[in-house]
Amino acid sequence: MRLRDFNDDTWGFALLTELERELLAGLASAADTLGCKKAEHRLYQPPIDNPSEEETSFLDDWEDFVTTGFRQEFADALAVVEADLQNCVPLDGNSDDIPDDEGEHGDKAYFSLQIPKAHAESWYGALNQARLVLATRFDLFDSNGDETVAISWEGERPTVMVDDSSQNPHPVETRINAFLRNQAYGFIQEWLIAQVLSAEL
Amino acid sequence: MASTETLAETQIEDEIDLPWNVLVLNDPVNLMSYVTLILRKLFGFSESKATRLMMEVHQSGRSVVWTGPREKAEFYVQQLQSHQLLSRIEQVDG
Repeated sequence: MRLRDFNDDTWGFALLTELERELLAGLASAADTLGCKKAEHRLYQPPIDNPSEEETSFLDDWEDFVTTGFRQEFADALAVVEADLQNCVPLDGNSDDIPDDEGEHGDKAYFSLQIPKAHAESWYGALNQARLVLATRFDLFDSNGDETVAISWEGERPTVMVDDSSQNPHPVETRINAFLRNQAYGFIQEWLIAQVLSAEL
Repeated sequence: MASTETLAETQIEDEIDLPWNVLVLNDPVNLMSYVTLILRKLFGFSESKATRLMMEVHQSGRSVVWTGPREKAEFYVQQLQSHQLLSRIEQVDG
């Protein structure tokens, strides 16, 4: 994956592998809260904790108007991303962006994708939805906010560490997969903040 | 009797008039740089003030980022939640 600030109007991915393209195509499913009340509650939060009875009408209005608005807003962000992904184009084999050390993987497919900067907030929001839902659904953090899956560097080789002290119902492989997706999406978010979104202030 | 009613009315009015805090709560997913960015964008804070509040969220679990009338506090919480930050309103203790 290689991210690039192409010009005044576009940013995007100068280089994407097929796997990375699939990772991005999986954003909408990762962001889906279906069957996970915790994730639903995280995305669509109450505005007030421990409400008194007098707040009932306010909370009903919040649910009807504000939460409904958020659902539409978040769905719109995912739709923008899905539409942008349709513009992925295969990279010419002679592109300078293809790594020189590709060697034996010469038949590997690479893609590039240019995205309007006007869509950067939608991308950030969609990536964030996915990370929030993945983290909540697969309990990637414990109640103290500490990671339950983490990468540890011993020497030059990374090792994925999985905390099994909690009674996490998900298979270890599924949790590692969710963790790695979470990391990849977070990497794109960091880049977007530094290169695109901060510039708008 | 009349004075008791007046006192009760005054207490209710005081409660109504108490300002509301807008809280941002810590969560392990939202990036620190993003929290700072959103605080700058929504409240017009300087980078140093937004960073200080973000660090308070990170270290103490919560930060009061704005205090004022209820209606405006609701608006800010709506804005913060639309950016997927954990946020609540809370009335200032009388």
